[in-house]
Amino acid sequence: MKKFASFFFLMVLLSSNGFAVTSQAPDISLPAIEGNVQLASLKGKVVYLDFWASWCLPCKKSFPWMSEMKKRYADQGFEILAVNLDKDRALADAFLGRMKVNFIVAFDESGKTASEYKLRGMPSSYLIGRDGKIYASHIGFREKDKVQLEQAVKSLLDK
Amino acid sequence: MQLKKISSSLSVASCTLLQVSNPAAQTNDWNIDSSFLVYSESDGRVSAFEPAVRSEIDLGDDEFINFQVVVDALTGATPNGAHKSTVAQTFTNPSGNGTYTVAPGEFPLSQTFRDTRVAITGEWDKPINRLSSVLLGASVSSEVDYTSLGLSATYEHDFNNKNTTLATGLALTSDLIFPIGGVPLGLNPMRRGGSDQQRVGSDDTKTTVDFMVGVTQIVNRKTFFQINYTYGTSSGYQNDYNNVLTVLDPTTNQPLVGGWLDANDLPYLFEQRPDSRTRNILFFRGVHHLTEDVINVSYRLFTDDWGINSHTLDFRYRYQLTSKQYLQPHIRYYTQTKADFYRHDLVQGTDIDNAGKVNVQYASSDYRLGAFDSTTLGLSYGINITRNSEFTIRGEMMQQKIDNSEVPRPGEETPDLTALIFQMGYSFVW
Amino acid sequence: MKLFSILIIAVLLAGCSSMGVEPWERDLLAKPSMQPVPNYFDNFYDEHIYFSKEASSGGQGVGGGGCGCN
Repeated sequence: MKKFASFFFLMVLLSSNGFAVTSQAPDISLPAIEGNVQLASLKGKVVYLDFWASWCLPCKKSFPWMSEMKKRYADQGFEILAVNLDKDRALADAFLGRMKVNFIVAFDESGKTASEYKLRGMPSSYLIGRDGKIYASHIGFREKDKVQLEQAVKSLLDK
Repeated sequence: MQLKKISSSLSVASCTLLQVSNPAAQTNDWNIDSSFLVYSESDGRVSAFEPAVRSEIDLGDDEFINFQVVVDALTGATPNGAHKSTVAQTFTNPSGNGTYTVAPGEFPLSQTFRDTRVAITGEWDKPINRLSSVLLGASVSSEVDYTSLGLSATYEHDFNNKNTTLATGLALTSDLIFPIGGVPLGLNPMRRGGSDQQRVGSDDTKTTVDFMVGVTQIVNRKTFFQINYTYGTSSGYQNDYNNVLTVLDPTTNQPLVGGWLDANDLPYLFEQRPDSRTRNILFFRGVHHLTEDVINVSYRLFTDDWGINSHTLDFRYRYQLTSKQYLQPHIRYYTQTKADFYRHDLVQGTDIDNAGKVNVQYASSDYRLGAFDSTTLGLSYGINITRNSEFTIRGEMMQQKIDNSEVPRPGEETPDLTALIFQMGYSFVW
Repeated sequence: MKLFSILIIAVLLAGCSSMGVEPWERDLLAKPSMQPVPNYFDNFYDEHIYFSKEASSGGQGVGGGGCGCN
C-alpha cells in the first residue's frame, strides 16, 4: 500500500514538471496562413508561443485574450506565434473563420513541434525572450491565469 | 447535450480526462437539454409519460453547475404478486377500502393506479487544480407514497499526463415510505375490504450508502475504457407494500379457504423482505472510434446478499450518416437469478402450519426478484440543427422473458412482458 | 473483495502508464460521440426504467437519487 501511494506521488510530480526554463527555445519552421514562419526569424522580439487545437475549449477562450495582448504590446516588440495541432487542417480553418486573429498562426499536423516542446497539456504556452531563450511556460488557460501571464509578458518586455 | 460532464448526474468516473467537447460553449452559457419519454407496457400494464429538463451553467475555468427537473406521470396496473388461479380471486386495495376481482385464469394485476413523481437534482462540479476536481450533488424526489433525499460527492484525479483518471464517490440516500392506509404487517393476511388491515405504522424509512471507486484509462487516440467497483448497502424498509403471496391449499391447488384464516382474512400474505441488503457491482465500459463511427459497449456484473446475480451487456453503434446526422442501433441483454427468498406462493401445511404460523422468515413473489432475462432492441437518430443544437429521437422495445421452470402447476405462470419506449430530445445553448 | 479491487486498480494503473496519448492527440476523444455517455437522457431514462423493472441497479457512478418505483 505504501508503494502504491508513493507511485501516485511520483505521478503527480511528473505531471506538474514543465519544460526546462532559460534554455534555448527549439526552432520552429512551419507553414502559416500565408507562406511559412520561422521562430528564429522573430529573434529580438518577445514571443508568446502558443500551442492550440480547434477541439480544445480553453484554447478557444484564449484567442480573444491573445488578440488583446498583441494589440496592447506590439509596439514594444511583442509577437504571438500560435501553432495549431489539429490533425485535419480543415477543422483549424473553420475555427479561424470564426475568430479575429491579429497574430501569426502556423500549422503542424504532425505534432512534431509539440513533441519537441514536451507539451503536458492543451493549450500550452512558452514565453520566449528577445535572446531566444524560454523564460516561462504555462499549461491550460483559465480566467485567473490572465493577470499572471500578462505580468510575465510585461516583465520580459522590460528586461 | 454535448458538453463536458454530460454524464455527471451519475457522476460517471470519466470526464475530466476526456476534456471539453463543445467548442461552441462560452463562459456563462446555459446549456439546456430537454427530453421526454413515453413508456408503455403490453396488456394494459404500466404506462409512463416523463418529461425532463436539465440546464448546465458554465461558470468558466472548468466549473459547472447543473439543475435537473423530471416529472414522471404513471398510470396502469402492476402484478400484485398472487398467481393465476382456476377460481376468481378478490383482493383489497392497498388503502384497505374497496376491492377488485380477477377472473379465473387471469394474471392478477393490482387495480389501475395513478401516480406522479417529481424529482429535482442539482450538481456542482468544482475543479481543485488542473488535475483534480470534486462533484457534489443533491437530489429530492417526491411521489404520493414515497420521498427520497440524496447527497453525493465524487472526487476525480488525473494521472499519467491525464491519460488515467481515478474517481471515488460516496452517496447517501434517505427514503421515507408512507403507504396509503399505512405499512402492512409482513407475512400476515390481506384483510377483506372495509375491515381493519393489520398495520405496523403509518410510515417507515430506508437508508442507502453507496461507495464507488473507478478508473478511466485512455488506451490510444481512438480508444478508452473504464472500470468501476461499487459497494452499496441498504437498511430499513425494502418491501413492496402492494405485493402479496398466494397461500395455496395443496389439496385443491387453489387459494386456501377457511382453515386458520378468520372470516375477514383473504388467502394472501403481504410479502416480507430482509431489512438489509448489500450489493457489489463491477462495471466495465469500452469506447472505440472507427473512421467516423463509434462503438460504445458496457458490461455489468451485479451480486447481492439476497442471492441475486446478474449480467448486463449493452452495445451501441453510432453510425455517422453525415457529419451532422447519425443512426444508433442499441442492443441490451440482461439476465438475473432469483433472490433466495423468492417464492411462487406459500403452501399450506409446509410453509404455513395449521395454526397459521409462517415457517419462512422472508418471502416475496415479486417477479422482479425472480429469475428472468430481458432483451432490449432500439434505434436512435440524431441531427445537429445548428452548431449548438441537437435533436434526437429514439424508439426501443424491451422484452422480459420470465423463467417459469420452477412453477409447480401449469397455468400459474407469470406472463412475459413487452414494453415500448419512445423518446425525443432537444438540446441547445441559451 | 475490496482488497481484490484495490489490487486490480493498482495493477491497471501500473499497466496504464504505458498507454495513452499526447495532449495534442485528443481530437477524437474530445468529440461528443466519444463521451462515455454521449446522450445524457438516453442513459438517464434507461437507468430509471431498468431500476424499476429489474433487481439490479447502479455501477456507473454514485448519486442521482432514489424513488419508490422498485
